[in-house]
Amino acid sequence: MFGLFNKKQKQHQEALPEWHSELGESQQRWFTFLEKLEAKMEEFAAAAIPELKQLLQEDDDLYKRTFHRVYSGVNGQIQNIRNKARDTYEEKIIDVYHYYSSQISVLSPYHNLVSDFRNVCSDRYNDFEDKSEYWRNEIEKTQERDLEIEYQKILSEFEAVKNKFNCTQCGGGLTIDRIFLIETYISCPYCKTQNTFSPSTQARNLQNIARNLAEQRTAHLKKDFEVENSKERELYHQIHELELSKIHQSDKKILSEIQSKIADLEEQRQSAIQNAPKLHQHYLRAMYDEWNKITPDLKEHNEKMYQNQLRYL
Amino acid sequence: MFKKLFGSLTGDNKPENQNYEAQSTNNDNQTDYEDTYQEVEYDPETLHGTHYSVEDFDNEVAERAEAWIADERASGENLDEKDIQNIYFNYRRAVYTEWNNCDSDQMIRFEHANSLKYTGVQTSGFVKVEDNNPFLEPVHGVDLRTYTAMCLKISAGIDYLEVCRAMGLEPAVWEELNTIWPQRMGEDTSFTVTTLFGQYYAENVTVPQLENLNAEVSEEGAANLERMKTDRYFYEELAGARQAAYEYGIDGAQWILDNFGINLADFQSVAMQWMTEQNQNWNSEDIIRFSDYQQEKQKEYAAKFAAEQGGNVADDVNF
Repeated sequence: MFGLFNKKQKQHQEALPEWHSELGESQQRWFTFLEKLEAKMEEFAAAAIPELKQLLQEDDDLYKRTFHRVYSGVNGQIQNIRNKARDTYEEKIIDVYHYYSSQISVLSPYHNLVSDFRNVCSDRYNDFEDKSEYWRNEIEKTQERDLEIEYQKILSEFEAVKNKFNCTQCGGGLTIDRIFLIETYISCPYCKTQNTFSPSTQARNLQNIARNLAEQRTAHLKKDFEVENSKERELYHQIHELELSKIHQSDKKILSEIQSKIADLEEQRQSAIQNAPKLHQHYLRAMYDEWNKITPDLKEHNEKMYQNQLRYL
Repeated sequence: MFKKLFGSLTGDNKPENQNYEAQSTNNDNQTDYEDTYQEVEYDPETLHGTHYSVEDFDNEVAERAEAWIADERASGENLDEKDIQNIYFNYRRAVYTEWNNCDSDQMIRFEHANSLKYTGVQTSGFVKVEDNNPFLEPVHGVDLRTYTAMCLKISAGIDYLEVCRAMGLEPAVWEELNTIWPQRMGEDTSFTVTTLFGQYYAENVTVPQLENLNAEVSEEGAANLERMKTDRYFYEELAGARQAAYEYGIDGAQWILDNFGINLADFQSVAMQWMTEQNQNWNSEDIIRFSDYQQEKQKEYAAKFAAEQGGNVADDVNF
């Protein structure tokens, strides 16, 4: 009996259609191709990341334009590799799959070989995309800079210069009571002449870094929100799994255990749905408070922006 | 452009889906609507069919939406504000398509024309402005149109101090304008300020005080600019080239100026102009055709830049 079975299977294998080896070859090529692309990508990214970091340090331009130009070029190359993989996937995998799946009847015992080919290749492609995403994130991180250092520089500059301005009319000392972000009229306390105070380039830049600095300082609260916010989907999937497990279960005791687990998870899920927006608001409030501390002149505007944002929570 | 927008909105960059979308739109046009098409007269302002009243339309949508909402609630669903808005949105589409027997392009044009009424957001090319909008109050006597005219001059490369002098404004006043107008753009949830700014930008507005203040444009640059305004394909080519330049670490805006003599302000102005035109005459076939053309050109220029830089990182990897 067993011998017969083996024989049959052997026959079956021998009878595999010739296109099967063609698919196998394509699959092999596809795997090798992606491996090579991944190696290129890794080599390129690993070399580019330290260079980008150094460039950001050395770029004296307020807007870091040189850095951004190179950064964009680095991303361009990563994208180029991804496009190459995508185009090849379409041409060498998907088109081939469509060709054979239209040629081979779904009733044929070999039809599943065609869909297996596609599935295996597309799984491999997803792995490649995950790796690309990883490198994209690593490259993105090179933009991060410690804004506290820049903020401290602005503060110490302000301390050093704030008492050094005199009225253009009477020469009396002018009080610069806070960091101005734009040119501002300051009236002389002695002769009442309007003087134009022009902040330094560095001080003006406070406006550009203030929000990011506030976000850096409140990043932990944002994280809390994100963790809570992702619970809903996770719990939903857990519940779904349990619901499925009930289908072939007839033991009443086990069923009731599952049911109580589901109820418990559902309660957690509902509480996450309630909590997430609260944590979001908590984060936003803290972030805007921080921001207002850094640039009090923008408070009125920022509060309006905060109110607008609350409406979309 | 359309594909990119679609990709970013759905967070889905898989080309397979894009092709599917494109195909299904074409099929819709050909099979569902062509045979049964009837001439419908549309109100030029609201783009509603003239064979019914707007009130009837709104009532019908409300009736169907409320019935669905009641049904959902009866079966224990929690509906929040966003769900309800979505339900109304979908029924608006359904009723409009049904009552006017129209294709999806006409439906989108209708949505653009009514975006402020139904979603509280302006659409470029269909801006509706009410009197006494506090966001549009002039700042230090400078209204949004004049502010836009100043911005255009500055982004064309003219020193802001020169622009201030021509306007008779102290630089400090300009800095305040340049703070308050952008702040209003941020605060205005209907996007009226932003959209109107874009519209003025597309029109390349100017005011008498600034008329004699012009950025230096070469003869060739002027000719290219004119061509970009009238030849959509040429615009798409330059947009693709600019994008390709950035991907090769080149300042794309500067590259356009160096090679075609068109400055950033003029380029953005024409871009806005085409976007407005596209919104007003929404046609998915055209949009896809132009977007494909831009991508094709982007590839061509990318190959050129790559050759100049000694190739791409993975050029030697082959299937």
